[in-house]
Amino acid sequence: MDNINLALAVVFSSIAICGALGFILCREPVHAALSFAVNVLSGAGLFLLLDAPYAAVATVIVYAGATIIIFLFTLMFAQRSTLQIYDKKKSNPISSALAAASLIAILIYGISRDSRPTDIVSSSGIGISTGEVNSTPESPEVPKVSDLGRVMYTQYLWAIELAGAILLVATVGAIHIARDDSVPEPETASNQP
Amino acid sequence: MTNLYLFIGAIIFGCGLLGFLSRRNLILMFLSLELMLFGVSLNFIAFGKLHGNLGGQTFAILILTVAACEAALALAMIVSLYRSRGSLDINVWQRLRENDSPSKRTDAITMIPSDDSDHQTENSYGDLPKLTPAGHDPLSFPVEVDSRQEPAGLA
Amino acid sequence: MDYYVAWLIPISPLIAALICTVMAVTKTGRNYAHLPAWCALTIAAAASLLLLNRVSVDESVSVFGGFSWLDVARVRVALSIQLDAISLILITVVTCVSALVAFYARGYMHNDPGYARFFAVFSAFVASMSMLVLADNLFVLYAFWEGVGLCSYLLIGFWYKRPAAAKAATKAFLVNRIADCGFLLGILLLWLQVGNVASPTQGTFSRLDYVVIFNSVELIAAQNPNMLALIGALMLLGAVGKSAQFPLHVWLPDAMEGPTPVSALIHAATMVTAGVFLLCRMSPLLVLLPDVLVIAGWIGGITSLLAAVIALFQHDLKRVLAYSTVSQLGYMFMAVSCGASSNLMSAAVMAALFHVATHAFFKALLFLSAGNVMHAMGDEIDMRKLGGLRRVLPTTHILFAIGAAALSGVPLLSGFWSKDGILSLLSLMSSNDVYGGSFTVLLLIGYATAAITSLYTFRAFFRTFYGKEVIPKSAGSHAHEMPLGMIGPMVILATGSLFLGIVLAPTGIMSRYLQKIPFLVPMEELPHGWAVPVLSAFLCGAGFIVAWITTRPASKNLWFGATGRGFARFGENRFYIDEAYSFCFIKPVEWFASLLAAFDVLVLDGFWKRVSRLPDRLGDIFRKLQSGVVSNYAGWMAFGLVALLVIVLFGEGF
Repeated sequence: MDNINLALAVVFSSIAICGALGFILCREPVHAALSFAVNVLSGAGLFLLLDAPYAAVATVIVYAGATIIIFLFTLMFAQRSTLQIYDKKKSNPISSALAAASLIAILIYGISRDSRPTDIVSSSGIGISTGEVNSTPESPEVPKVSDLGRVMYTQYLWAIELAGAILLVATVGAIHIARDDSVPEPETASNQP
Repeated sequence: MTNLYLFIGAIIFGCGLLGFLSRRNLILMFLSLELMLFGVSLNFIAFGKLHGNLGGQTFAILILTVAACEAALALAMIVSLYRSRGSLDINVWQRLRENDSPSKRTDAITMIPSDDSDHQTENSYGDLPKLTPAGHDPLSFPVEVDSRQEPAGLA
Repeated sequence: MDYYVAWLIPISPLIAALICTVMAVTKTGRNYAHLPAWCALTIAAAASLLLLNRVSVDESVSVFGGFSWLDVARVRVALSIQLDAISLILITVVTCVSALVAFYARGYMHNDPGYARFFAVFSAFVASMSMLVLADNLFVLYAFWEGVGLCSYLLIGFWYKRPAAAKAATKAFLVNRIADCGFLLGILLLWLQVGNVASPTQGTFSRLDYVVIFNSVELIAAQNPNMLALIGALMLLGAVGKSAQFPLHVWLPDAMEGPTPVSALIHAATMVTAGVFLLCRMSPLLVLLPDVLVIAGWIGGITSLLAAVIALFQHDLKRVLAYSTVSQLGYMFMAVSCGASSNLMSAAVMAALFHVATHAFFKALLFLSAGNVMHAMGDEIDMRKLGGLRRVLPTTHILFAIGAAALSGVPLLSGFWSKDGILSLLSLMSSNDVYGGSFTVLLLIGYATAAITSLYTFRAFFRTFYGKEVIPKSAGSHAHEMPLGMIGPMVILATGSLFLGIVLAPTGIMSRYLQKIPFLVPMEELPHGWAVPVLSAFLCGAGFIVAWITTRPASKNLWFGATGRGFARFGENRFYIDEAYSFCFIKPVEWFASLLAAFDVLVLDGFWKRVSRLPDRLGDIFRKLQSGVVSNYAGWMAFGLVALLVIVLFGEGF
């Protein structure tokens, strides 16, 4: 079981990193967006391995479904037939790579420096619990989606409601920002004598 | 083999950062942001697993929500910006630069102007005060025509 | 009762000054600004005349406590009034003359745009001068000493739009600074010394009360005679500056740029006598320092002779009078110096004060007459451009004659008596064992000055009022005698000039005051003899005759003919003293200043400009960050994030 999980984790990780690299390296915006989708899909696989099936499904729907599709639509809308200069030429490639590399290096260093046993690949239970992060009772079982729902609508109720409110505000804001002021409103135009 | 997920999360975050820094296409820059957010949510779920509770997943879902909001707003802004300039190049918007720092948009000038550039361009902000660049004596600095003003018609 | 009357003297002019200031600032009722000044000065004059009686009261010194500025532990800064013979004589002169001049100034200054300002500063001057005279504390005296200096500055520069006036005001102020600096040093040294010998319970500020000072001077003289001599010399320096003595006399003739009433009051009658007053005030200290007094005598002698000679050659009527003032102040210094023999000190003080009083009257009268001439001639005062005015200005002619006669010491007029007192003292001192030689010379100088005084005064008189009638064009066709409002106060001054001496000196009133001079060995009466007055009367007559002869139109060449021409030009240019100062002091200072300016520009500015270029350059570097490119900003953020993580991960040891 562990070995299968490990193998799957390695495979999904490889695909995710390949997708991320592809996203960076592809010149063609559409290819980059598709690489992003690959990355997200394999990431969803990692979510599954982490006993987070709901998050995995939601990610696939929201990222790979909605977000990527909408971005692709926008790309189609704005994209010219030929490759634009701003797609061909990167800005500050060297220093950007330096910044990203140093960030990754310092993060990996920070993660690996922690000497606590954190073998979480086994899905048979809990690797370690410091117990102080929250007050959810630890269960030896693999948490079900219904458990997640219970936690979200009890313990994290305010956060979830806030997220809903943010969604609403973002919707209104997006409609307002994207409105084209140059085109008169139909009813305003008809009201003109 | 420990911490594999955290490493993957960190690498995806770094890749997203690299994409954001090096890309010039607005849409792809925002996709890079999504990538960074994805890396973070992977981290959260891994942490949740590590601690044996569901807080990590909840956070990941919150981030998903924020990412969706961000996508909506970003796309709205991109559409709006594209309308005013007819380009997706981030370097077209350089209004914050000092007067004497180089313009990055020499290569972006070949873009096709949008139809409604008359009322949406920077020209409509022409009455903003022109500050002396930092490091210059305000009195001796020559008052010059703002070089950042758009050419009226880009044919 | 006396308490309130005494406090009326400084306070009523102060209130008038405030009212006039409000009038000047708010521009309401400016044409009535003379009324508060008149009321206040009349009240002050009446109050001081009332108080003059006190001199004959037994107690020679009475101190009226006022209010305290500051009362912290042992520091109690209080304003109090001290009434004694010295302060009462001078305050009476000050308030009476200033009231008369204020009445005169109504006519002289009318239609001037600064009318209210004039009366505001005028009243403020009288208030300061009163407190200067009435103070019971050396530091309070110094404060108001500066106060009168400020008012003098403001009034010399009254017509501040005229460059000459502004320059003269600055000159007066700066020259006085030199002297005041020394004076202040003297006060502070004295404060230290009194602190050494005074009882430990003595308040810090009241150490400079006259009573405390004079009770401790003998101890100081025993302990630290050199220090006391230094203090005395510094006080003398202060007096020399204020009273325009050589070598600091140069500001007074220039001060004539101010309005004529100001010249009459401040720069002839009152403020310039503050130096003499200071010497009189400090007489219990100076009496221990005969050497300092002899120096004062020499300064006075040189000044009186020099100024008299310069006055001979001046063509400007007001300048003649200004140099005459300087010369007469030198006389007063000579009088004080006679205290070098300690048993004569009270007489010396008395003689000096007597001359201050009479001089105030006749010199104010002369200045106001000159003001009449100036007014009638349309601000033209050069005697080469006018003459024979006795028909145009008949009353002024008589008044000027009275003043001139009093000044030159015509027998029985006031100047005769006071000058006689001084010369008698000098002749008495010339037989002194120790300082006889000096005082013999000073006596001769005194006689010479008396003769020259008579000569230049009457020369000015004849040149102005006699001879062919010449009226300058600036007078227009309306050269006329002054109205009664201006003549009236002058008549009172003329009365004083005529009779002040004969009322005070032979009747024994002077002697009564003399016995009340505080802190000194009392004297029964002023010394007098026959030889001195006869000789001085003779010299006065000689001066008059020479003046008459040399100013006749027929004898034009008698006045310094071909051989004396050079000397006359020398005198006309005031012996080039101003030029010498300019060359010796001002020019080197200017050179030094330009050197410093070059140093400032090249070295200091150069250095700091380079230093200030550092943030400039740094700014240039960081300014490049402000490229407006989103990717760059984000990149810096990323590096910042990395740095933050590095600090978090590796910074635990710090």
